[in-house]
Amino acid sequence: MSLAEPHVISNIVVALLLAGAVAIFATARRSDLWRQAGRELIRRRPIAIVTITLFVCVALLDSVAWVGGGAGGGNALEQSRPRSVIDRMFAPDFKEKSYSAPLADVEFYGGADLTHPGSHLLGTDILGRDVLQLTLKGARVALLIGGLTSLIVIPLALLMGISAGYFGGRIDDIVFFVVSTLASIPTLLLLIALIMALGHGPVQVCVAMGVTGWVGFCRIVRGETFKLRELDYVQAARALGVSEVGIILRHILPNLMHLVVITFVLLFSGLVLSEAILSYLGIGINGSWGQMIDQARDELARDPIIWWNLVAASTALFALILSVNFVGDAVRDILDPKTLGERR
Amino acid sequence: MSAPVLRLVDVLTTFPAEGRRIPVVDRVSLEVDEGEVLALVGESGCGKSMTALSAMRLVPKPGRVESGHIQLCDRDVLGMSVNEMRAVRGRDAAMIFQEPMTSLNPVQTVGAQVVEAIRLHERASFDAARARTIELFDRVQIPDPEQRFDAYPHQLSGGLKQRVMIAMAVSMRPKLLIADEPSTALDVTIQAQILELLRELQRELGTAILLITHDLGVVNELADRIAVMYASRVIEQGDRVDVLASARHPYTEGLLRSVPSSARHGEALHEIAGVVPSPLEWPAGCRFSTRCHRMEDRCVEAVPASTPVGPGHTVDCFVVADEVAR
Amino acid sequence: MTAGVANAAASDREPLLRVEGLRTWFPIKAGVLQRTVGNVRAVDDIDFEVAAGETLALVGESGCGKTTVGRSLLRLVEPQAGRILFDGVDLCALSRREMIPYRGDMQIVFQDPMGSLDPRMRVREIIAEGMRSFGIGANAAERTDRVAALLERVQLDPDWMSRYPHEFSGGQRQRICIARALAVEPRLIVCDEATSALDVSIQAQILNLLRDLQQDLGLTYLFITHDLGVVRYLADRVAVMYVGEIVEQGPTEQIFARPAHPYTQGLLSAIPSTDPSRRSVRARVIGDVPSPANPPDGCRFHPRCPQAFERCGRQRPPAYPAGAGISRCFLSDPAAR
Repeated sequence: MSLAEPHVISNIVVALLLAGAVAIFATARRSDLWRQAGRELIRRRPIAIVTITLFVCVALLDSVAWVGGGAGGGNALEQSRPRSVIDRMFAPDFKEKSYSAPLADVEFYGGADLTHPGSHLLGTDILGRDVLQLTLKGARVALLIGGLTSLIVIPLALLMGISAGYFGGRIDDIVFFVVSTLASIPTLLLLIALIMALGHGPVQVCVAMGVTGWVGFCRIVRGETFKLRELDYVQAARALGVSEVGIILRHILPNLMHLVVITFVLLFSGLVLSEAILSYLGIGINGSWGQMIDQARDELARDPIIWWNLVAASTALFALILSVNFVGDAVRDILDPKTLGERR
Repeated sequence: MSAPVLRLVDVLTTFPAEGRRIPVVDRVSLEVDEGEVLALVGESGCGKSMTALSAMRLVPKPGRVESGHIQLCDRDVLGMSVNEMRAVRGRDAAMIFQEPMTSLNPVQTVGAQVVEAIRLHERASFDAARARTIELFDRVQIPDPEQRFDAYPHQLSGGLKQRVMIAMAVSMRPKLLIADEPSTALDVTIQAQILELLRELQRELGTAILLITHDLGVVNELADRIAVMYASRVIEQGDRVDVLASARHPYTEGLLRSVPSSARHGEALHEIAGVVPSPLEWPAGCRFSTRCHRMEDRCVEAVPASTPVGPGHTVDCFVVADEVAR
Repeated sequence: MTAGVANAAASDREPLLRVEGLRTWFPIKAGVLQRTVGNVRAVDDIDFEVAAGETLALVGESGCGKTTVGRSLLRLVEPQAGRILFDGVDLCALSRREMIPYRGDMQIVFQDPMGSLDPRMRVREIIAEGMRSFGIGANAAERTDRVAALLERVQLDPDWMSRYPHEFSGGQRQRICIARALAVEPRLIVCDEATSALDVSIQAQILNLLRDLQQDLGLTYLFITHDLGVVRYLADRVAVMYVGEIVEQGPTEQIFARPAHPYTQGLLSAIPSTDPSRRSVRARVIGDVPSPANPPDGCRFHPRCPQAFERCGRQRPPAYPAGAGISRCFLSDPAAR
């Protein structure tokens, strides 16, 4: 078992993410302002927070995979493939030949008996895979899209935006030029071109979306940095001999954090929806809800309609995006600098 | 003596905070007679602007005037319908604000705005209103009034914008002009011009003025009578000379002695110790008791009543009331 | 008050701060290629000096450039020309890096107590920030002790150092700004309208504090303000600015008792007094302040001057001596008398 195997990398990444999340959480807890904001958020949007937490848990569970163990059944090939915690909630060979309706005993076409009658809660798709299992696994893909792409977009936008806004002059001209050029190219075409060039793997698709998605946030950061640079406390820091880098790290960046949080939350939903469109064009990520919805094109045209694939994926997508948007709106209100810290 | 142009009796205006309603105007009573200038003085947060807004029924939600009696030009303000009140505003009583930059609509010419104000209250053709406006601009000493009619607010200086506001306010020859910090945002040489202008207009039109300000110098220049507010209450009222020369309330005394021009170079300035308490921390009795050097136990428990200390001069203070009784 | 002593000895001692020919212009760019089409001549060739331990007030109305002077001294905006001699060293000739050690000698307190403090930093970090740049305080514990001492000196409770700025009132925030400035042990403090945004009673507290600090620590102040009442109380000498120039300078008493320049006279007559026996405001200065992007020819004040004559519009008056100071007005020409 080499380190290069995808499931091992995935396990390591999950461990790192958890460590990172704990670290951020610990840092934020030290600050009264963020603690207050967090409490306020939970007070305002409990259902959305719970929903998102559930999705995150499912995604994490699906990211931890290993080979072997578990119940018997299935052939040798299936036994040697790495299976995640979610996979292990279902039998290793939980497949049929083709479509079957939810909780059905027989196949949809032909009426032959199923291998696991009555246990497919949401039916099976064209390849006979359990739709519930696919839906749960789709959560991981969605969070991967949102999370990894944001991890590319946000630092890139911050770096370019702060440089442009703080130093002005030539640097601003260059950044502005790059930003304007990128913004003038139709995003979809650029995305298609990049994915064709880089490949279809999940990381590549995320990189492509990242490269095309940082422009909007960069503009906001640049504008906000302009404003912050002129404030008296920044001037005072300069008068106190603080270096430019010191000022950026200590005064500018912390005062942009509220924007980062708001942007992350709102970007997330936009990215997941974008990937759904990419799937529709056939260049999305394997296993995403978008891909499942794409299959619906065929399925809806049949008579009788095959609806369970579409409904499962859409519902999951809708639930996640809706929750994220609710949280995003609440976050934006709470972190408004005018009210931040003035709640008593 | 004719009836006062503005009469406030026990007016109470509150705002919600922390589950309660906090009084921002706490049973304030005052009167402005015809043709006189009453200055309502106090520091930030004392409620003087809210008092003026209450008189015009312009208190922003979620605040409201809870109780009391407001009489404007012999009419009961709180009893009027919304339409009747709108007719009163601008015609019988007009208001000018502190910040000329935000008081004028930036996408309309100043002339058009004054014309609009005129035609709101009178049936006049555009030309007649325009002629009136140019005449008013001239009266308030705006140079080149014909050209300035078509100017946008951003093309005018602060002083000129304030003159436009004054022109709009006096266009209907109101009986009462409420001026909320009319010169605070202006340079001192421009302020002098505006103060002179207000004085002239007041004499010429016989308008009464309710002047809201924190600047005791401006008060001295314009006012006939003064009312001093602290923490939403009027704590001293009287004739200008009486209040400025022989202030009796410890707060007024302290305030007058804190003004830098009253001290000599090199001496320490008189300080009023401490800070204004927030509305959530007001004591049950006299609100100045937390900072008063003459405080006694009863000051914290009970609210002092208004005691006359001279003709037309009242003070809300237990210690002063005792002195007078002797 | 060390003023009297300082004044007497000032003539035989090099002033702590001497400014010569300071010019700070802001370019106005327009057009597609962003060419410079003009300049906002915020500070236009001014000279002044401040002796150690004294308070010089820089007075003027909006657009006169006094705030830009303060920021130019600390090189928060870059002057185009001139010399800023601090203790004999020309700060304008230094590069930004060479400037750093000198930054500890001059500090600034701003007008707006809301914007002067980083809302996301605790008071302790705000005050200690400058200490790190100048190696004051060997470790975190020592720095915290110093912060506590500074808070006491500005009459705030040292326990409040773990609070955030929004938990303090305007006057208290100004005290924190003063503590921040004092943390690096400066010799000169520029007070840029430091009390203008405060209520009268709070202003009195802060002015007393500044006065006490000056006596205890031997500080020098450049007090920038538009409020002549404060000037009379606090300043030893006054420089009056108008549209980028210093039009009159001199000892405080002289400026108030015998103002030589018509603008100063107009300024003084415009101040309302609180003395009920006098209603003395006279609007002697007519019209509006011109824009520093397009100042009038000749004497910049002549379009508004009640005593202007023909020469005023053609020639820029030089600085004539007037009493113990100077006045930039042809009426002060000793030859004309």
